[in-house]
Amino acid sequence: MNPFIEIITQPDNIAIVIMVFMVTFFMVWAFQQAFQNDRLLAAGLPVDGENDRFVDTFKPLVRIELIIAIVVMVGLTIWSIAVDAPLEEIANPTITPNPAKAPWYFLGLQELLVYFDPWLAGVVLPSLIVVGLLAIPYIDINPKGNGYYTFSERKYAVIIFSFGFFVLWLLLIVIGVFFRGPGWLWYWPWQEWDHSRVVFEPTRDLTALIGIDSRSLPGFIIGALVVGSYMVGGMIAPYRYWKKNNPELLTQLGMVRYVTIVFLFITMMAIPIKMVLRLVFLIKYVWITPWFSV
Amino acid sequence: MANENKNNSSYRVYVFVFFSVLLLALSVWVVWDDEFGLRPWKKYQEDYKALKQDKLEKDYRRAVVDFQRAGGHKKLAELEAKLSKAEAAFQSKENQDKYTKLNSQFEAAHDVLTKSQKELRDLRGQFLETEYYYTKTQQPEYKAKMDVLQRSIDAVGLRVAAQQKVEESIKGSLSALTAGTAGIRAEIENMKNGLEEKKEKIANNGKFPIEIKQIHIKDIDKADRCQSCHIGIDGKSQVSNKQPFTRHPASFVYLDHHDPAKFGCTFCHRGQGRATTSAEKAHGNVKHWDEPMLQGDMTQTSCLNCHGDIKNLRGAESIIKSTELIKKYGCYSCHKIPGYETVGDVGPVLTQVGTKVNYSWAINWLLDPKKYFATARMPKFYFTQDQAESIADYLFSMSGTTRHDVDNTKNKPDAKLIEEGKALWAQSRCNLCHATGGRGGNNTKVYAPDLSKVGSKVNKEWMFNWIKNPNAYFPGTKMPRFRFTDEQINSLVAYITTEYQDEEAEYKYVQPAEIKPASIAKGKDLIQKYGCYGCHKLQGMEDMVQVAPSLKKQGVTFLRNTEMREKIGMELSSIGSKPVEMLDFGKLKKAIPNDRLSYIKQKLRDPRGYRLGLRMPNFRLAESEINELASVLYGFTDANVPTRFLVPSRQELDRMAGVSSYKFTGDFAKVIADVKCTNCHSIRGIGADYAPDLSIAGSKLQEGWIRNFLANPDVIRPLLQQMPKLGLTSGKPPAKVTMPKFNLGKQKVEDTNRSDVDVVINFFQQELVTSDIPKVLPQLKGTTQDELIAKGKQLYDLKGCKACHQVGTDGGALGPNLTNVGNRLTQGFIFKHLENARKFKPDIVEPNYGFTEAERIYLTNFLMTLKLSAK
Repeated sequence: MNPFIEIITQPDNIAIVIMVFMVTFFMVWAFQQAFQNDRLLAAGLPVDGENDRFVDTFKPLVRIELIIAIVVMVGLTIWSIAVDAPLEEIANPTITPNPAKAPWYFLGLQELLVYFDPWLAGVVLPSLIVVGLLAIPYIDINPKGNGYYTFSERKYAVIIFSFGFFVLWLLLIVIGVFFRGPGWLWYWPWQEWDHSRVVFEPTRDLTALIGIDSRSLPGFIIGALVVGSYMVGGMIAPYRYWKKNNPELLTQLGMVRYVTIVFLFITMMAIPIKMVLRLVFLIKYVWITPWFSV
Repeated sequence: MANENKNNSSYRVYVFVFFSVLLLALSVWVVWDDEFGLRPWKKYQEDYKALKQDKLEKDYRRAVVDFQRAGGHKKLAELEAKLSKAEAAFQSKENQDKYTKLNSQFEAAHDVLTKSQKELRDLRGQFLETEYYYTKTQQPEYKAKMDVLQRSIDAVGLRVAAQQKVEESIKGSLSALTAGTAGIRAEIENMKNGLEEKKEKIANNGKFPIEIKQIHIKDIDKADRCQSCHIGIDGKSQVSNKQPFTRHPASFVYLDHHDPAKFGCTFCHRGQGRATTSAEKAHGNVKHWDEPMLQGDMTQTSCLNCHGDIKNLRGAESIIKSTELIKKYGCYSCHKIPGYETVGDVGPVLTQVGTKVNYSWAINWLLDPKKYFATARMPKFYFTQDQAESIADYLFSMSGTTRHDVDNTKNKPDAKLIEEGKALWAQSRCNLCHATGGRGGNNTKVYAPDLSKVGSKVNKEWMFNWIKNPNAYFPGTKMPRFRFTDEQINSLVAYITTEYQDEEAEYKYVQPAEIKPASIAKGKDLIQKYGCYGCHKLQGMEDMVQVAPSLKKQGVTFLRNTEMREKIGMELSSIGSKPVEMLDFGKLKKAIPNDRLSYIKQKLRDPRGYRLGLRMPNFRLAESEINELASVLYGFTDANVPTRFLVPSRQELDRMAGVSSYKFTGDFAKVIADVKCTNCHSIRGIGADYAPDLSIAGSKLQEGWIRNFLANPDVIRPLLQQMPKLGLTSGKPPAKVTMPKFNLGKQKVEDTNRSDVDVVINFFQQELVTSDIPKVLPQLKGTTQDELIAKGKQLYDLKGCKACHQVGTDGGALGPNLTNVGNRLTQGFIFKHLENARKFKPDIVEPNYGFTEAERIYLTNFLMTLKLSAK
């Protein structure tokens, strides 16, 4: 059988295949509605739901929820009868399965281990995700877009969410499930998973590019400078941009909100940047400290 | 907007109704699936019940028909008529009065008895209480009370006994009165009984519950639910020939000795014993289950889990045969295998091989052993010619400077010598072990080389020395030393070297005048790489290896003995339970099924096929041998075996008990080491089963007969089972045997002038005796010897002994010929043998006639008269 078909038909992975289609479907649908509403708003026409500040819970919501609950139960029942729990080989403490994959919903985080120090990928970044999600109600000061879909009125919010959720979370899960094989090596769908495959891919640290040992003091200082200038520059650049183009927004946000938002944003953006460094330039670490490496 | 909502809701109602109905239907499906879909064993049990019902009913109907055919119904009617008549008689007034009177008497007597018995019980109770207090306090008053009570108890006891007698007598009269009817009733009951029982069975059949049948073996925590489907597996009779309803095949061997309730099923059969949802899963034929169920002869591989010694194990025939292959090919030489640690080298000693074979032959052999003879056991290493030459160079350089490219075809000896040699060859039964031209070699377990082409292989001089004393060249060889004279050996060598020539092969390689040191070094590397030292001794018995002079010059010293002895291959002690993901299928991952058995078989088929760089040589096994070997290897597991399952071998038991295993001592050990009796005979558990077991030969055989036999061992057996004439009568035990295994330390100073025969007989009579066999027969008073013999002869004819045994020219050939038994066996042995033939030979076919002691004495006396008078 084609290796790709083999992988996507594994009982374990059916959920992720379903997820891919469902997420795509709802994403397209949501954006379609958002653009439609944007056109209405631009033409000065009313948007469905824009003015419905309050809607009855019982009729519109509960009925739909009940039906959806039944549909989901039907689906789950059929699924659970038709597909048995995908058991693997008997647990053996002396054998580590290869590839050893986390539960699918954590595969995005596991993928980060390729690019980051485990302490960052496993502790700091997940904590920041949780903290960031908790902070959203407090840092979102845009009152628009309640009860209806819109893009033009919430550009920043929609773009940042879409990037963080679709790309950094879901895409990494899909990569982890379908594209990572033995040895956590990259396998294209048409490639056979080969347990004895060897890939020679020497990585180096950033300072090694200019001939400085990253573990030496100069290496440490250079690394710290690079990371520090990214953080400081990332803090200052949006401020100057908004100051020039949208000073109102800055006053509305206030300093605390601004710093929180920008810190979370540049941290998030550090992830794709590091991925590019690792994949394209084969850079392992930028900055090595005795406690963690970036 | 309201309108729109309404439209929406009516559409939603349909969706709601549709999915609700679907959910309801699904709930029904869920229940059905859980009750039946996932429990297929329910149907099997129902089917079994129906099949059994059919069988029982058929049984019952047949029994009824039999009953009626035998006129049962007529008899029954007669009996019933008789019964009603007797009952009528019993009902007559006279009898009834008598019966009532007796009955009331009985009741009265019984009343009295009951009262007395209660009194006795009370008294005893009081006595016990008093006794307790007395024991505790030691007060004399209690003692006095005990005495009083004891007296009362005695008195009442006597009364009870008397009253019991009275009651008994009344009871007797009562039953005499009803005896007529009771007897007839019992007879009717008896006639119907078989039928009733069968009827009851039919009624009970419906009652057994439909449920999961589980066997739980606590100490290894195995839960087998196989019997949920294989419901009739341990049944008393076969209900159906169809799976899963059959009985266990040969259950008298397997189940009778391995109670399923204690052993379960998967312990031997493997499979996934806990699975109940489908046969595929239960049999373990699913992904990620490494232990598919074993079927048929393959199951015998599990015998190895517990049985330390399967040599004579009933029901393990297939695995016994397969295990022999491990010894045949010497797998243990390169792989660590439990139980084979002490088995000797499989290949011959090569320390002096340069003096034995010619250089060209050695290279041909290294290139392809099967080309020389098809049954060669040495595997093919795929050496290039260059490599083969290097190895030969190394081996020849180690053998010292002796060179012999002697062309045996030249200098043909004279015909008379060859003729003598041919006669000697036949007389010595060389063909018993050595095959030539596809004939002979019947004693397969010694793996003697095929000699069809030996004339082109070995050096005449070497052959002479070899026949003269094999132990000198190869200590521990299986080749016996025949007591030939030098002239005889010369004739034999002449015969062999001219008769058994290789006409086809080319002996084109010429030994170089001086072997290149580079080639020698390369040969050494190859030997180390491929582990030749696993099967062959490349050095003497010393710790350090002999270093050839030519090598010494270059400062080459060989490895230490211990280093050399390390196993080159992977340990096989748990190959049968190795996780599949740890097996490296390499480039055959897609080509063959990814399971353990396929892996093992493919490895045996093509040892270097999985990837580059593998070193195992190719034994070029037949497919049947591959299957057999795989079944053995599959049995080497690290399975969790409860101690109570283990059946250790005799050696293991000895080791556990701290007893050293049986060893031959003294001169006899020397004779054994020299003549290799144990190649064919088994003595006290040591040796092979090709010829009779000699463990009790001293008690069994008469000295004179042994002497005659060893001088002229022509028993009436097929030619290839005849014992070779070893010349023991004229020979003497060797002064010194180069055989390290025997315990010569305790050896006493023995008379060195004794001949081999004397040594053998002495040993037989001293060691190979058992106290189970008496030297003389028990005496029967009042009968003369002649009478005994006459009675024995009568018995011999009466029991039809001659159906199997031959005396003179009369009788069958199944049993041994008894014509000369009076000269051969001791009377004690015959006497005991007649009592229980299986005692000394468990697999004998002779039936047990259950003779009385007297009868055995008659027969023994008769048999002892059967003597072949000396010609």
